[in-house]
Amino acid sequence: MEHNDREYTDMLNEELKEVKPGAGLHSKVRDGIARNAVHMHRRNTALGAVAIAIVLTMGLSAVTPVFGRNGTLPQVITAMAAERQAKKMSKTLGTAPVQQTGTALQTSVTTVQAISDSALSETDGILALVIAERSGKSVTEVLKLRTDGLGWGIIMAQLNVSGRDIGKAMSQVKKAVAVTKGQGASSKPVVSNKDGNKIVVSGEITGVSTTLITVAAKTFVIAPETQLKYHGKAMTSVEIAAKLLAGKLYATVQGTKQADTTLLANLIIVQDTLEEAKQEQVDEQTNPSNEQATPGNEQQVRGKVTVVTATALHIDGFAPEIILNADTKVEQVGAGSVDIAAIKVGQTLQVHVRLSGTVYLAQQVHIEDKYVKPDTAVDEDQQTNSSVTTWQGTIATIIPQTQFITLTEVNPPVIFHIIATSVLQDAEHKSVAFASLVVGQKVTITGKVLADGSADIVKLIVTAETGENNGKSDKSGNGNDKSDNSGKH
Amino acid sequence: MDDELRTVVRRVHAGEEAAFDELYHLTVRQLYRTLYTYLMTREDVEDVVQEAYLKLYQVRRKLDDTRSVPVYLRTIAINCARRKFRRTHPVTAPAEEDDVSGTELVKGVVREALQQLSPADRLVMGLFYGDQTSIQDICRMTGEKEGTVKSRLSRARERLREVIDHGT
Repeated sequence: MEHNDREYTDMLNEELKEVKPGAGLHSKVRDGIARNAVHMHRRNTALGAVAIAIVLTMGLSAVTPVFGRNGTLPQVITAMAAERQAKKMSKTLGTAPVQQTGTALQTSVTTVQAISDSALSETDGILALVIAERSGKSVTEVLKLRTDGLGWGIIMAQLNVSGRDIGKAMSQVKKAVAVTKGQGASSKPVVSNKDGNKIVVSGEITGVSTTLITVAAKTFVIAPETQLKYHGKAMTSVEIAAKLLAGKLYATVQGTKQADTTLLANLIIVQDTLEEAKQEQVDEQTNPSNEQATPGNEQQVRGKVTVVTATALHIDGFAPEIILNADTKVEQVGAGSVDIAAIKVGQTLQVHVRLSGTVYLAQQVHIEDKYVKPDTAVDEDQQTNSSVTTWQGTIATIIPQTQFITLTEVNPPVIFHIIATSVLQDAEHKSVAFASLVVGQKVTITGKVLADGSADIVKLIVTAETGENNGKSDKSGNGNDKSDNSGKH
Repeated sequence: MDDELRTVVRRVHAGEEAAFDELYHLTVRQLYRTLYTYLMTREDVEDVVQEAYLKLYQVRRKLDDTRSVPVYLRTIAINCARRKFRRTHPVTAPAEEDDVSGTELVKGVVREALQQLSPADRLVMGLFYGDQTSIQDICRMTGEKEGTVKSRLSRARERLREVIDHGT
């Protein structure tokens, strides 16, 4: 295709020769350009004004609370960032995020409860907890500021809490929760030292005797005042040893370093799995006020009794009143189940409480102070006391008049005296009456040896009923079925 | 002409206001004819010319002498003309190819034949034969492929020949 197709070229040139811009077109173009210049100038002026206004607003908002109760622009930005972190934390924690945050930050249960009772969302609740914790103020103060309508930014500014503080607190919560959930927990035994003398160890029980227990390669002395617990119930070192024969056992031991560098066990919580044991330790670490997290509204409280009545109890370090009622079970070291009246001011208690509405109900009270018999100074559990001995054997003789018994396997024979403080129990540790004892029953007796060789019974446990003489007491005073074997242990 | 245009473009680029007027005078006649073959009314052409020079003025500092300013100017103008055509013929816009509707022209057979072409075909015809523009430049200005441009030229020639020879 060529341009030299002259016919068409000529034809078009001929036709378009008169087509040319008019004289006024240049003026029109110039006018258009001039109008546009004016328009652009105005537009740029307007844009400049808007830009200046924005800059001034930003500058002004940095120093004056242009956002009303939300504060200045930096405060609003800080609040947004903090809220975003709290929201993220809420998502991460899943269920009961406020409670979990409270546990992680080691805030009291009442603080967490105050937030739960408020109308705050979970995100705001977390933020309120964190701000209260970081500022050292009570959560009530934080909640009051919030209910006054102040934004989080201005609240943080007033309480001198920075966005960085919030970030740190969130990290702390995250780490604590990770430990609780077992994330990041190593297979190594958990050992912590909260202060110079206290030590908490979790791990496998590798050895136990009546006086020593080894957990996670650390050996603790089991003293008379050491509490041993298994699934919330008291147990003995003998029982631990028996369980160890059946398989592995784990424990969390709270102990105290002694001056001679030995470790004294204060509390031994025996568990079936390592995870449970570690959980016990985490609970202990995150609840130094002994407010151990338990499912739902239940918790463990420990402290000295400051006030006690027939229906209420106050414990040092736990502000709310604890209600005692007919369902409250009370037990005391050395006495087993006791009456509410056994609770005295000054005693150290472990109370399992349940929050019912706004009232804390005591479900179980454990009196750590040992029961002291009113008429004797004998400590029935004093296994290390040389005068207290344990015998096992079969009842050979029962003398009702003097309340003496003898055992067949004990040689030389020992006369066991039933005294006022003697505890008589069956195999299930239920009290039994002296009258129900029969010759031929297998028993374990713990007693104090007297100077004449006889013994006062501290505790008698019927371990097995007799087959031949079941229900037939030989209370004639005639000893029979004497055995040659000494059953002394 | 080319040297003169290049010099003027340099001055425009440098910010000399008077140089833009010179650029206008050097390019407006060709631009006017190009637009006329497409729009075929003086009023529309003048509107588009104003708009095209305004756009050129806005980018005057970015012009350089290595670039073909007339091609660039006509590209701007053709785009403006298309938009104007779509605005003034909204219903027939999709059928632009076949639109041979009215103009103010036309005296004689050739004008009548041109009038019977579609605006796009007319534009290509005018650019190729009237302005002696290369196929490549036409492609650049219209944004169409070479084959399309050649088809338009062929169709326009055929139609023009038909009208001239047979008067229909």
